[in-house]
Amino acid sequence: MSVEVLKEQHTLKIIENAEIEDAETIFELLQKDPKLSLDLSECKHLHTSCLQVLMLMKPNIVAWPKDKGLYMWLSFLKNGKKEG
Amino acid sequence: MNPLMEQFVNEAKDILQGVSDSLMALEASPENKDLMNELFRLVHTLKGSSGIFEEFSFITKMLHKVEDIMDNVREGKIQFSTYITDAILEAMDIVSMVVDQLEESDGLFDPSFNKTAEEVTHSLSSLLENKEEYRDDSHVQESGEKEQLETYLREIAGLIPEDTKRKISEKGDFVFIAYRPEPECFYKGDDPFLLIKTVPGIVWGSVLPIESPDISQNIDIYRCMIGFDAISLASLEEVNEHLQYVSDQVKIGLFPALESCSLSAKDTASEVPKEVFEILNAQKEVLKSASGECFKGKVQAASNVISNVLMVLDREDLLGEVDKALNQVLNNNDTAPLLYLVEQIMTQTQVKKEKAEQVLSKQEPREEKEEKKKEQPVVSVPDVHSKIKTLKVDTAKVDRLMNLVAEIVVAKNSLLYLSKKAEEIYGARELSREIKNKYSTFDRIVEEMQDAVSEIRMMPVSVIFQRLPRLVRDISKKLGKKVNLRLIGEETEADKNVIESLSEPLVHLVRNSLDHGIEAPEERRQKGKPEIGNLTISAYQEADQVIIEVADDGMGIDPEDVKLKAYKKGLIDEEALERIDDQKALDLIFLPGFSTAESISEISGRGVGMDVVKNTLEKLGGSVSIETELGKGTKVKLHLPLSMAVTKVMIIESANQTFGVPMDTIVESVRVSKDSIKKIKHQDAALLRGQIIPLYSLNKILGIPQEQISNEDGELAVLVLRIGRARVGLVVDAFKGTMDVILKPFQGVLASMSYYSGSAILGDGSVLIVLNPKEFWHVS
Repeated sequence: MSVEVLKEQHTLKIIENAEIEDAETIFELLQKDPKLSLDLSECKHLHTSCLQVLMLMKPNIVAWPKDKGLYMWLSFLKNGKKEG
Repeated sequence: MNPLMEQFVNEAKDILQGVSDSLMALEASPENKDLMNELFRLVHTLKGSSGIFEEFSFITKMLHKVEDIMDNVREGKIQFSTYITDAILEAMDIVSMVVDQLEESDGLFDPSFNKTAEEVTHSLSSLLENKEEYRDDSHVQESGEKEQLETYLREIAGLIPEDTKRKISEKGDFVFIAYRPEPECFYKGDDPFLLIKTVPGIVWGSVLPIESPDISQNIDIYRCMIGFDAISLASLEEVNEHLQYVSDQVKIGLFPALESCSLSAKDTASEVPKEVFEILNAQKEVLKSASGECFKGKVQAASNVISNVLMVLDREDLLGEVDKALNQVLNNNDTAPLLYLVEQIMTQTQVKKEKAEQVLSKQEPREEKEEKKKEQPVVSVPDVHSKIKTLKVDTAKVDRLMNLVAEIVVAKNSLLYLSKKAEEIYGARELSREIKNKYSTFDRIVEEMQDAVSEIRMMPVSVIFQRLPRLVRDISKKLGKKVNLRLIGEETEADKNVIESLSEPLVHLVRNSLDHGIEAPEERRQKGKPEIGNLTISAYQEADQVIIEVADDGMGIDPEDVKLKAYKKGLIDEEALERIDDQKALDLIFLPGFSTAESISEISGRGVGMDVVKNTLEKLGGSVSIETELGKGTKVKLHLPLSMAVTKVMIIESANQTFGVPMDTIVESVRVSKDSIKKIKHQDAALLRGQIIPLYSLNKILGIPQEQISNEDGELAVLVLRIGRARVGLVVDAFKGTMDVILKPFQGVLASMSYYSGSAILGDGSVLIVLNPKEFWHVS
């Protein structure tokens, strides 16, 4: 499982690769709790389906990926959560 | 095997067949673009499915190369030839082997395929390398398309950070990529993000929404709703190669850094939230109001906020300007330099919405797009009522249905016993009649049900015929023979099990015909025959049998040769050599260990030939016969039962046990008086209709130490059976009539008992053992 919920930090942590199977999990978690933050520090790749979930839900990012290649692509998340 | 892999296996099998068919057709008409596209589509789908499984990456890689080759053929860079067909077939064979193994071993496969696949991939690559010069303009966009891309690039230029722009101007030109994956791409195993992320020389990339669904509604997250823009500093060719399999979903263009005005600063515009302006405006107010004691603090706070905003805007390049302005402000106690900078930032930064959609709408007219949207709802559910006419059902499910129907047949028969019991034991005649009435209704329905299920299990012989063109092609090529294959009656149907078990014998017969039957072109010319040999395989129905004929116009079989060969191999003795007539001589071919080929070739003639064919057919309840004319050709006829569901058996009694004997072997049942039985040497025999029939006691055959019982008139019950071409008499105790049963072969340890074909359950619940008399006498 590459998706972990850190309850105390109120954070969803994605470790290594988020596969297509994880998209639904991430989507449901963020839908259930839109204030859940995201820790991508250990994330290496997000399947397109997971990526689009992040694009839809625009969660608050508490830690950016160490992977430079991935970080570059996630600029759309830098503006944080939109109102509404 | 997990369901995903199961689906892969099933799909791959269909695709592999399709690939083989398309290739054969392409060889006949290499110019046919539709066929080539179809082939490409099939290989692409297969590659996509294999890509889902990490362990099959070697397949994906190999198929990738196959696609490369076909792409080159499509574009006319390589001439389609038999080399290409061979190479592709070789690759498909590996996939086929892996798929077969996955199926057999429930999801496991031999890792050594990995190496084989690598070798094939390598040879595919060398095929590609040895082609004519690769033209550079292969993927150059049409000018209109490039203009569109340039316009779009100009619009989004503001998103591109300054340091990237610097890198671009250092290099001189750059490749811009706009990738809009198709919505259904996830189902093909594509991961567009991974694909774009791994484009060589990537220096900038951005993700953008293509659709913006309402997140409070149900959303199909497996529909791709995002797109990508990217800049690469690799060559156009490299980028094109990387993205060639989604070429219909990408727009790629090479742009010079200097000529292009797209990246000039004045055009800087980016997608920035309104909040940025609000924040900047607030800082302006703060700066304007800054005075007195708080001046330094306020100015510093504002400059910090401005710096942060610049970072958000990816304008780190301006951070130096902020520091410079801040120093000026603090030195001169005048906020003007900072205010000026904020103004500048604000004018350069405008909110531009729906950029990505604009590009899309430029690519296709808006109305068309909307129409498309209407056609494809977000969650696409196929219209069940109008479209699905055929169902793909696991054969195991059909088999289960079949077994259940068989059980109903048995349960139904018990009603008859019940009615008998009601009348004989309880004396309830009325009730007995009523039960019988119900039984006949029941019987009718069950019979129909049985027909219906049998029908489901019927498959056309084309399923096995379709493999033959490839086989004939490969073998004839290897042997240097020219063969024209004709397939007749492909639509003829038979039970699934019959069809499945027929595949191997048929392949063997075809090999035999090509190897031993049809002569080399030279030899044929000398004999005054057309150079191209004919191989005709036909299927047709005859009464309740399916007949399959494999006929060639080759050299035929010489019975004398066969006899001599059999004698040399010690299969017959000298006496038999003299005695055996031509027809019987031909039957010798079916003996285990017989092979007429002078040398054992790779194609056939391993000495495990025709006896296997014969055994397979007999196991299926069929038979095989040969007709041949020396110098003119040979015809092998396979007779098969239409359905194996119901077997008609004769019930007999021997040593107080009942047995079933399959009706298809029985010629007649007779009573033979004990007195008329003669002994020839040590063998009992009787004269029946002018023919001497050897008699064998069933008890003796089965090892029951009991004499057969005769009736009051001193007559023995004899079943005359047809075993091969001979007739033999099987002595039993009594005949009990015939019955339709559902024969189930023995399983496990019992399966090795070849004297029995299996068991069946009778209406009263008792088990009937069905004999397999063909196994009693091997050589007659």
